[in-house]
Amino acid sequence: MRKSKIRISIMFIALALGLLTAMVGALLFGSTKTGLKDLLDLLTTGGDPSVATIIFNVRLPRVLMAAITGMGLALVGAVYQGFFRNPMADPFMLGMSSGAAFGASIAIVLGLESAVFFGMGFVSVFAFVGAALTSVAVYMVANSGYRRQKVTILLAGIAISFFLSAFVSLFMVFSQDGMQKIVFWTMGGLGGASMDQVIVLFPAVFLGGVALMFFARDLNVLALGDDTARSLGVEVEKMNLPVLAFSSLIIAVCVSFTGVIGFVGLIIPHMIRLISGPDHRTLLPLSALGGAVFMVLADLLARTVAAPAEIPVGAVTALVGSPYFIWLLLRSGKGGALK
Amino acid sequence: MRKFIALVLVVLVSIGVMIGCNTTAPKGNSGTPTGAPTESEKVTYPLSLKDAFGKVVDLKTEPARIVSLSPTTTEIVFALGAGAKLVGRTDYCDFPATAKTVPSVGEVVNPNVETIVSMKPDVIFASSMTKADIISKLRQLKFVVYMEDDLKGIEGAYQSINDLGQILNAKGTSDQVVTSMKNHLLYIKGKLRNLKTRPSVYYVVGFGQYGDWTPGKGTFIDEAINLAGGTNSGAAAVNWKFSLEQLIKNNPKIILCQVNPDLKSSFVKADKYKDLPAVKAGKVYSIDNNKLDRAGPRIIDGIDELSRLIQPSLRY
Repeated sequence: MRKSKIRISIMFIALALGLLTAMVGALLFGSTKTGLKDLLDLLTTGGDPSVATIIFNVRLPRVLMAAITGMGLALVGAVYQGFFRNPMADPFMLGMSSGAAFGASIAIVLGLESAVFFGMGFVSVFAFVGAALTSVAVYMVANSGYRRQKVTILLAGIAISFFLSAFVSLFMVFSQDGMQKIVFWTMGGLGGASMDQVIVLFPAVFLGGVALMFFARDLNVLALGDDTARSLGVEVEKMNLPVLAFSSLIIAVCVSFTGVIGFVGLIIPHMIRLISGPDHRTLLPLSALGGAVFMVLADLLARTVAAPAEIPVGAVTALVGSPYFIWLLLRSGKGGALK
Repeated sequence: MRKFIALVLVVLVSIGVMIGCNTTAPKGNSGTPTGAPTESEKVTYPLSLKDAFGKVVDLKTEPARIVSLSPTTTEIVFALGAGAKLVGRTDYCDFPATAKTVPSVGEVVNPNVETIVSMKPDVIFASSMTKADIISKLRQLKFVVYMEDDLKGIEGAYQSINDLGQILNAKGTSDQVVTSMKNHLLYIKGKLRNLKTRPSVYYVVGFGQYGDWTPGKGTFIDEAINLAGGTNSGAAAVNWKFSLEQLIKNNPKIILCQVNPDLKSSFVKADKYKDLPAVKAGKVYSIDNNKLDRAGPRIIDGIDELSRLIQPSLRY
């Protein structure tokens, strides 16, 4: 018991330091060469103005966006895996990626790309609305069904997701010009990151995350099954709305700014769980930290390895993360240090 | 969904709308500057004009450093004799050949903002190919961005060349370039005035497993085929989408294949396509689509090339 507490403290400290290091590193490296000296020059004497622009207006919003998005995706992934008691659960289970793509496609097809709403691009606004409405629709369908079980939520999510994807396909076929923009939107990326976006993203993820933390204990009991949890005094049905609502808020904001970034929300919680154990009170914050570190590094790779060309960050997350995760699985399977 | 995206990407690559790698040697004189500005044609700064999308472009002084995010504007910059001021271009900016010696900022859709900033451009030329959030990020960073529109064809080319002539203080050169383009077009039109036949032409953008794609009515290439003395066999295409059945039924006399990427070699060998009468008659030709897809200085050369393929007897 004590040993695991120490291990978890070490994990917290390591991940927090890791996040700090990753963020500083991501500020220092990019497609152009800037050193620690440039950063010190900037902080003391002012230095080269274009270096200042690169570090503070180009890299900083990007690094912050990556960190916050990674936090949100991994946290919600961890919550959903516990909530649905399904290791395959990921943040886009309720069809929100299709909902966001649907909203973004409408904005693109209507030619609203350069329109701006309170500092936000219209495509992002539409994507947010699309994602949010999708989660509401899924919840309503699942809640009015005959069998009010979680599997109904999942199935409703899958059905609505396919339904909306079909619309996106139709949009692409009937709008030649919009087609490639929609494709590139769905690939995701952080190239357009700005402080305006950070100002919207941060409170949503922070508040949603704090709210979800209150359900950590209930999620632990849910691991025993809904029926057992119910007999132990957890109001299982009453959890549905707040858990899904806060999770959806986080995901809708993340996906509307960055597009669909896969892998982080699915694998990071598993990685953390392999080391920390299944207690959601530690799993949730550790996943958030882990997701942040991972996304910051993934975006750093995405914009530097093929510089000046950029690789889709979603490709980097899967390319780098999958082998590591498989290695972790193999190690834990041998009854190694992770048991 | 994923399958569809894969399909779409393949088609996009094969469509190569406005982009791709140029595999043929440059022809014509439009890649080289045709003159220096005279005193009377000097542009005065501050300068304010509207780009192809109606956005106001303000310049306080004559730009000395240019980044071009569109292959079309890269061609125009060189045609205006301002190639030496180009400090950044995209991977797809391949014409004229000297453009390739300029450092790249990545590919067209998602260029690297940081690299662009580090080049300290006074003006950035772009197209709607580049993601909207990249363009708004650049504008937010207080860069002057001018956007051209490749879909506007010949008129778009004239507008972009005239606008860039103003922006780069090369009004004299841009007037000369546009005038010589207009004369070239008049010459082609004159040659094609009294045509006896207008052969049907099918223009291949994509074919086979991922669908048949061809420019339908309302596209610039449809217009170009008519200008060049042909009729568009694929005019009924909706959003560039056509079908093999329609293609077989229409039985075009001539088939033109894009060279970026090269389609002809696989088209003439493809199952079902190889049995088309035009293929059997050897009437399948390659066309340098970069000239037609980019609304820039070589667009009339593209029409010239088309007319030579469609109406060979008139020329030689």
